[in-house]
Amino acid sequence: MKITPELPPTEIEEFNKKFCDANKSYKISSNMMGKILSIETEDQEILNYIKERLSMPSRSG
Amino acid sequence: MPFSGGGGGVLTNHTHDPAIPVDGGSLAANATSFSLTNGSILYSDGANIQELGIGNSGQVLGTAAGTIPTWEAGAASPVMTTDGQIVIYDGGRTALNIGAEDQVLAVSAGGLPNWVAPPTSKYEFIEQFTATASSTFTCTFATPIPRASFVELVLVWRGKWGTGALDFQIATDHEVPIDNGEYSWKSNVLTSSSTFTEGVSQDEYTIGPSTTAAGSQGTILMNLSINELEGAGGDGTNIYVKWWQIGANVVGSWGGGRTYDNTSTITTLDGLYFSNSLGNNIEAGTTLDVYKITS
Repeated sequence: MKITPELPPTEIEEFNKKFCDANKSYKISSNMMGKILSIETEDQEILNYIKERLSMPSRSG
Repeated sequence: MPFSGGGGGVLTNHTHDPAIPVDGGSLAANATSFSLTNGSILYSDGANIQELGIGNSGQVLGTAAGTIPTWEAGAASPVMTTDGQIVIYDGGRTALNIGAEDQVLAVSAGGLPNWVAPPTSKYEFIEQFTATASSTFTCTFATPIPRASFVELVLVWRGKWGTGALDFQIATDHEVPIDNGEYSWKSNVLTSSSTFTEGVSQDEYTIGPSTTAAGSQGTILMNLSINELEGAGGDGTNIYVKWWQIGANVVGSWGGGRTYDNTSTITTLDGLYFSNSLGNNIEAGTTLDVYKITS
């Protein structure tokens, strides 16, 4: 029997779901647990997302 | 005892020694007669004279029986007359001329040896580049590589990219190099931080993790291919690269991604551009070897 536990989405999963195909430009790093460690971007929508959802300062923009 | 004259005596033993009077004299050629067939020769079997009939054409006199002369098959006549020839058998011994330079010996459809061009290798060395101490390492091909001439390029980086990350761009006949946010990639930096990094719509691939100068030393193996059937800029514009890096200072990473020529179908790849993300020097003597795989 294969069991696939329903885990809450990680930060990187949520981020990619929102921005991966959104024609944005960014560079993002995460750890093996899916926690976002850094983002480099000048996109204002991403910067706002970071401030609202992750409480993490961006490295650019 | 010599022949003694007179009188119906018994013929005594004699030797035909011309030095001895009345010994029969020498046996003369073309006068002494044996009852032999034409061409026969005589030999002794240790007791008596024996006849050996003439042999066949090409036979030579030998001692196959060990104690008496016999006619045997003669040595092969030479068939080679020119330097480099070899002998093959094609219903008989015959010479095969030496092939042209670099040809190899193969077997023809008829089952005979023949010289042919060596099989073409599917893996071909293109060019090696050596870096000077600079934050950029620009590798422009002496001859641009036609897109249609390969299915994959194999790139081998050996050296140190200094403190920072190693970025990589590709130049085509349209974009020198491709930039303008046309690189998307994902990589994983191992052993130092277990950090995943991905870039979307960047100006370059980042193929070496951001690290210290000591940690940047290593080998990066890269594979590059162009998809003929699709592309963000039209068919034959997408360039896919994957890389695997391992260094001497516990930094390793792998990754891959896509970039594209946003103008039109790529005709040639013109160069490979490397740079340190922080502007630090790539170590002098760092090399990039480029190989081409054909279908």
